[in-house]
Formats: sequence, C-alpha cells, structure tokens
Amino acid sequence: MWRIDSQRSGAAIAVSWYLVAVPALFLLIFFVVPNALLLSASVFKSEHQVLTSQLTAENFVLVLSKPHYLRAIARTFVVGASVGLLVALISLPISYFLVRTTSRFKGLLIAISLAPLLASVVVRTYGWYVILDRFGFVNDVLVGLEMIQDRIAFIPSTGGIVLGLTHALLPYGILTNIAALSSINPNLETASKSLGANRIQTFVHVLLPLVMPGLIASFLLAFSISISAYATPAILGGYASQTIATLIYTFIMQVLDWSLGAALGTVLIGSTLVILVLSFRFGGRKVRL
Amino acid sequence: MRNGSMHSAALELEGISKRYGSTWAIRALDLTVAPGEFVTLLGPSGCGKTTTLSVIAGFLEPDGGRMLLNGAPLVGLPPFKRDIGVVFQDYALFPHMTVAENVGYGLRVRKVPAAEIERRVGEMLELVQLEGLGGRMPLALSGGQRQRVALARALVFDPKFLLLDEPLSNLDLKLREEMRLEIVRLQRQLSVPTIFVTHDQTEALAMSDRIAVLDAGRIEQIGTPREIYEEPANRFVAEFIGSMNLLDGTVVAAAGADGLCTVKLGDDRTIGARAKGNFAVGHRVCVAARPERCGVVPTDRRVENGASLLNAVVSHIVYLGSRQEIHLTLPGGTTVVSEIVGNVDWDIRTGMDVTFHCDPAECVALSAMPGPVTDPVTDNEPAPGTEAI
Amino acid sequence: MMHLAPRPWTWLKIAVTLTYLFMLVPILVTVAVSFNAGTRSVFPPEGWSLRWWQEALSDEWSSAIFFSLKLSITAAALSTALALPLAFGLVRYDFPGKKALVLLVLGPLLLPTLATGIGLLQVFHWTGLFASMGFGALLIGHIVICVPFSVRTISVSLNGLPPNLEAAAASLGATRWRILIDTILPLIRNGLVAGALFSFIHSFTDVNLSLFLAGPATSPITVKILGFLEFGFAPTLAALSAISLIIPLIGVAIVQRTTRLGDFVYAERQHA
Repeated sequence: MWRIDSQRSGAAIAVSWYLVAVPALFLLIFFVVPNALLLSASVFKSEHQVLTSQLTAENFVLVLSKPHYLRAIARTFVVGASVGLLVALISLPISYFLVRTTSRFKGLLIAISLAPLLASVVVRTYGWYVILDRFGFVNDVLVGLEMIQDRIAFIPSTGGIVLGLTHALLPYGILTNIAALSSINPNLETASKSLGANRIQTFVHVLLPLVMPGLIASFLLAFSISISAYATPAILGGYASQTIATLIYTFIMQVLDWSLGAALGTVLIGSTLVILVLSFRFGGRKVRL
Repeated sequence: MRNGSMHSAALELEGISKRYGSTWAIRALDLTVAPGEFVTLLGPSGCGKTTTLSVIAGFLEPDGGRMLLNGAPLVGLPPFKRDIGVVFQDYALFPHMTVAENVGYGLRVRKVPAAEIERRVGEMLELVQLEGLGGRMPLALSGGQRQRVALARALVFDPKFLLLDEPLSNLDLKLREEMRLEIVRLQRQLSVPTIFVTHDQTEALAMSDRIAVLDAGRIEQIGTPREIYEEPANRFVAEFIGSMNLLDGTVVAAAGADGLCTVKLGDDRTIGARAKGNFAVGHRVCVAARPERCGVVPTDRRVENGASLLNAVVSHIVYLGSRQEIHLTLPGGTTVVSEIVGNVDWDIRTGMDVTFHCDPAECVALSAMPGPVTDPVTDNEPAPGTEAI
Repeated sequence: MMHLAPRPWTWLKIAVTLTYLFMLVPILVTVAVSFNAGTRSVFPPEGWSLRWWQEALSDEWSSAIFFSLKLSITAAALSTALALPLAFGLVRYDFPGKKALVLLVLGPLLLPTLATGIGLLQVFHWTGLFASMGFGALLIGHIVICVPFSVRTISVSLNGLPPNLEAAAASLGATRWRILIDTILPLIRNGLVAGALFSFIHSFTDVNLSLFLAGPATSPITVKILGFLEFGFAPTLAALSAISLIIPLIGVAIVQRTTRLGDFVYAERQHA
C-alpha cells in the first residue's frame, strides 16, 4: 500500500480535531460527566435528592454495615464468578465445534448460537419463569412422574439468577471463544498427535494453553456484565435474593436515597475497572476499536 | 504530444530525499526523464522504488530536493492537481463503478461534458482492446482485463506523465509477457513519458528506454538496458541483473591502451578484464563475467588466442532444454558457471578436469567494494563503454 | 481433524446439541406460552389461541412498541451520524490524544450501563431539565450506549477498504471531498448500515439504562414488560416478548440481504 504522509502533518491534525470534536464533546457531557457525578455523589451527603457540599464516608459505612446489603454485595460477586465460570466452560465445546466443523450449515449454526443476543434479557428470562416456577413445567413433570410429593420453588433464588444469567450471557462467551479458537492452526493438534500425544495430552498441552486467554476473557466479560445486570435478578431473584443492581434500583427509584445508590454504583464501577485491568492483562483484551 | 514545449526534460528530480523516521527511503535522488521516454526503476523490494513514485505523484512530500514537470515545480502541489496518471500494483479499480465509470472518472472530476466523456472513454477502451466491456463491473473481469482498465483510466485524461507501480506482478507468466508488449505499444503510441517500477529485471530489460538500478534509496546506475547488462557500473548492478560469475582478485597489470587490465586470482592464475575504474597495481577488484560468454573445453583442447584460461572441475551439470549450465569449481573453491546453448559437442561429466575460458573483452573488472564507486557523476552519464575498449 | 477422532467428535456433537437446547428452549417456551388458550402461563400450553397476541397488539401495548421503535431508530441514526466522523478520524489520522479518545468512545461499552443511567438521571435532575425532557432524556442515553457499536462497525469497514483506492482517486484529479463522496462513502455503506442495525438492536433490547430514564408516559417496551412482570407472568407479556424478539429479527433479515453481518461481528470481536 502506498504511504500517504499528509495524514500526519499539522493540517491533518487540525482536520482530525474538527472531525472528532462534536462527537467527543457529546460523550464528554453525557457519558464522562454523569459517571464522574455518580462517583462524587457517593462521597457527599445528600438530603432529598439534593447534594450538599459536605464530604462524608457515611454512605459507604452504611452500605457496609447492614448485613442485608453486605449479603447482596457478596451474592453479586458469587453470582458473577459462578456465571463467568459456567459461561466459559459451556461456551468452549460449542465454540470449538463451530470453529472446526466442516458442515455446510456452519454459518447458520453460528448465527443460531448468537441469535439470543437479539432478544432482550426480559424476553429470555420469561421462559425460565415458565419452566422453573412452583407451578411450572419442571414441577409438573416431576409431580407427574411422582418423583416429588410437594412442589418445589426453584425460583426466586440465587441459583435462578445464576441460571438465567448464564443463559443470557452464553452468546458473549461463544463470540469470545470463537475469536480465540479461530486463530489456532488446526494442524497443531494433528502435529501433537503425530508426535505421540493422546487426545487428553493434546488438549492439556496444546489446545488449553492456546485457548486460555479466550477462556479468561469470556469469564471476565460474563463476570462484569453479570454484576451490573438488573432484569434477571429482579425477575428470578426476588426480594430475598437482592444484588447490587436491584438494591441500586430500590435506593434510587423507590427510597429516593441517591447517595446510597451512588455508593453502590461506585462499587460497581470500581469492580468493573478492576475486571477490565485483569482482562487487559490476562485475557488478551486490547484498547482498540 | 503535449509534453513537447520548450523543455528538454519531461520530469527532473534533483536531490530528492525522503525519510521515514530516522531511515532514509530515498536519498539525494537525481533522475531526468525525456519527453516520451520510458524509464524503469529497477531494484529489490525496499529499495525506495514505490516511495519515489509516491513522491512524484504527490502522496508524500519530499524532505528535500527539487521536482519539475515540464519545467513547472511539483513540490507542494496536491496530487489531484498534478495531472500524473498512476497504475497501481493491485490496479485499485473502484469496485462500485463500472469499467466505463472507472475509466471516465478522471474526466468526470475535471467536469468534462458527459458526451465527450463517453466518446473519449469509448476511444480509450478501444485502444486497450476492451471495446464492449464498458458496462461490466471490475470484479467480473480477468486479471489482464483489469490491468487494461487501470491503464485506460490512468491515460484517458491525457496525463503529463505516467507512473506504473509493478503493474505486471499480479499476472501469470504468459499474460505478463503479453502485457509487456501491450504497455510499451500504448506508451509509444501516446508518447507519454513514463516511469515504470519493477523488481523483475527481464521486464526492465525488455521494456525500457533506460533503466535506473536502485538500491537502499540510491541510484546505482542509469543506462540503456544494453549498458546496464553489458557494462555494470559496480558489483551490486552486476549481481542484480542477470546471473554473473564474480571472481575476486588483485590487479597485477594496470589497463593499457586497450583498456584491459590483468587480475591475479587466489591461485596463481590470472584473468584479463576491461577495467571499470582507474585501478593501479595492487588494487583489489572483482572480475565479472556472464555465464553465456564463458566456455568450457577439455583440458587438451586449444582455445583461441587471448582468452583467459582457468583450470576447473565439473561439479554438476544442469540440463535446461534449450541450454545447459555447467557448474565448475576453481582451485580455491570459487564456483563459476558456463552457460552453453544447445548440446555440448564432447563427453562432459561430473568430476572431470576441464578448462574454463573467457574473452577478456567480455569481462569487466569492478571495484571490489559493494555499492557505488563513490563517483556520483557517472550516474547521469551513459556508461563509458567506448572509453574502456 | 474429523477423520482422526470420530468418537470424541460424536461426544462433542452431543454436548453441542445440549447447549443449543439450553439456549433455545426458554425462548421457544416463551413463544409457545404466548399462544396459550388458558389464562396461566404454563408449558405445554393448554390449547391454542391468539387472544394474548390480540391483547399485546391493543393500543396500550402497541403504543409502547412504537415508542421503542421510534426511540431505537432515532438513537441508531444519530449515533451513526456521530460515529462516522469519529471512526474516520480514529482510523485515518494520527493525532495527540488519540488513545484517550479511543477509551472515551469504548467507555459506554466497558463501564456498567446501569451507572451511566443513574449518572444521567442525576445530571438531568440537578440541571432541572428532567421533567421537561421525557423522550429526549432517553434518546441521549441511548445514543451514548450505541456510539461504541457504530464506531467499531464503521471502523471495520474503513479498515477493510481496498488499499490505494483513495490514492488512485487523487491521482485522477479528485479532491478530498470528491474522494469521500465518490469512493469512501459508497464503499463503507454496508458498514454504516450494519452499525446502525447493531445500534438499533442494542438500544431496542436495553433495560439497564432505560430503567432510570423512563417515565410513566415514556417507557420503552422492555421496561414496561419488566414493570408488569411484578404483577405476575401473564401470557400477554409472553406475546409481547415474542414481538420484541421478532422486531430485531426482521431488522437482521432485511440488512442481511445486502450485507454480510457476520463479517462485522467477527472483525469486531477479534479486536475486543
């Protein structure tokens, strides 16, 4: 390709600033400012949705002193870790299949595996309600087979949240793992076998190390989306199984205590930033478009 | 055509340099192209050929030097005001436009009336033998056809100059040979001054009025194809063009009136060669001899007077149909090749002791240092073939 | 390789089939329930009827669907308009602060949408504008969360342009503007369309942002369904869920006719 150097000149820098100025300003005002405000709101006292200028740590103290809130925070991270693990593990075999298959329906199969992304989480969680409810499909089957006497309330529960989120986030895991697996030369596995390694040795010594960044990336991606998910915990968790996201909603929209909401929001942003740093470090994620 | 004017040169580059970061892509490049002349920039990849074209076309601003097109300065003029047609290696045809739209684009942006565009595009397509294909999309064409569209597109607006960036490298051998003739025919017919860039020496020899051999951003030699082949100015050119036997040695007798010097090789044998430089006794030089100008005979056969004779052992024989390459090892281990057209008329075998011979007039003694002989003045002069003999 | 390992491949196929079932069954169950004749949301349905679909298409719900459509289409269009110069600047030019700008553009994708939602709510509240903004508040938020999708998809297109085309156009006499209009825009059209579609889907399926910015009269369909779920899982909501799944599917089907969406999904993920 021919090199064109006028794109680095002073005039070109001016052109590029003109290009990006308006959209960048838009994002500064409506993305950076709100998030900054949220972070600062967490360390100021507020009365009746009005911030005072009084600096305080009491929002965090309050959040961390009530067992109900602490349990919600702990539950959020347990759910996040479980969902991350399940998504990474379940998406690996199907991704491997989708990358290596020679089926002429390959494109269609990939499309179907990603299609759930077209549906809102609300839609995807509704089906689980019908299946898991006390008077739902699974209970009907179990009772019909006389395997249980009394109907079981599978939901609302923390397990329900994990199931619903795993289901909702699986396509992200598949996308991430397909990307990781596509870059692995299939002949490496053949070569390993020709050198005398059996399938398990091949998997452990060749495939696993190469796909590890993809696995870690899908774990962290699912983790970070899980901890700030609202709809699934709200539908399948209920009041007894609150998470940070549902607590925030309660504080902001129902109790109207914005400072506590902001403190919990800060916890979410902070955790997400930590996860991001980890995924840049270990998941092969890059700051690129 | 329109390049006539008062200027004797269509394009003059004077001391053009271009740097990427701290490395020089081209360095103090001087090049003059006469009206209607076809000049080839020949060199290995990374020698600065494409950078030179980019600078001429206006995509890169040179870090120093002067450029004149028909006497008018080019530096600072944006590409779209230069009136220089370019054919790219990958053709860079607009995939969303038909063949006719592609060819007519240069006229359309010049606001030529539609009727005239149609007429000139039609003429141009006829000239490149694509009449009737104007409605096709580029992706529906063969490689050779795309090449012709790219040529037509670069020529239709009657450019003052034409730049061709390895336009043949994406074609298969047979098509490439056909397109060579085609491009030269078009260039002659339109008499548009042209710089053609290639790394393929055969292309360069077959097509050019003059060849400029480039290495590491510098011109090593400029001359007609014959001069470049017969009278390489230095070791780089000798090695880069064609195949060449290179024998290192020391001058034991400086060139006399006949221009021939005598060079002692590693063993006690000597070889005569035309001196390309003022070599005194004791100078280290390198004698270059083309394989097809060197012969092999049995040790007991006599060779015409004046030829240099060297003992050698046949190491292997490569049969190539129309010719054969006899690979030989000289005492001391140097390998040389003799290329023989047709069959050898005697029983030659691997391992046999033979006599390797070459006419001193066909050999040149070059400075042993790789690279130019440090004298940039020789660059712009025709290689001094006459003064040596 | 298949012929070397036929048996493990069979096991893999079983695992893959189970995974597909896991992914698709809840969605299919939802669709099935929407055709239930009974009044409870049960599977298998107790007889078939279209009564819940009729209810879902009544004025109360169809206005929410149209509201969502209006919101998401506008957000997709405006985020594409903002993303085009951004992507162009980021792909084509080197300038001071470029890295920071990339982070700014990807920010809404990297940080929790929930937090952006709360933050925007606070900004609009404290400037006293929220009450009068209504649709505007939602629209701004949706544009913010859509911009990363549009910028990425358009960047894929720009990066995929055949090399030398612009140099060729310039050598033929085209100015910067002519090159943009004659060459670049027609060739990245697919990327613009795909980016707008991804933005539309992202906006249409969003819950976490709309949750905080929606009002009683300005509720996207997802938030409205979520609100009604508190009162029970009526089959009407199943029908609505099915409708809100069908709309993005139609979008994909239309765009897929002219654009290979897979190209953009892949290129996008490879860089993620």
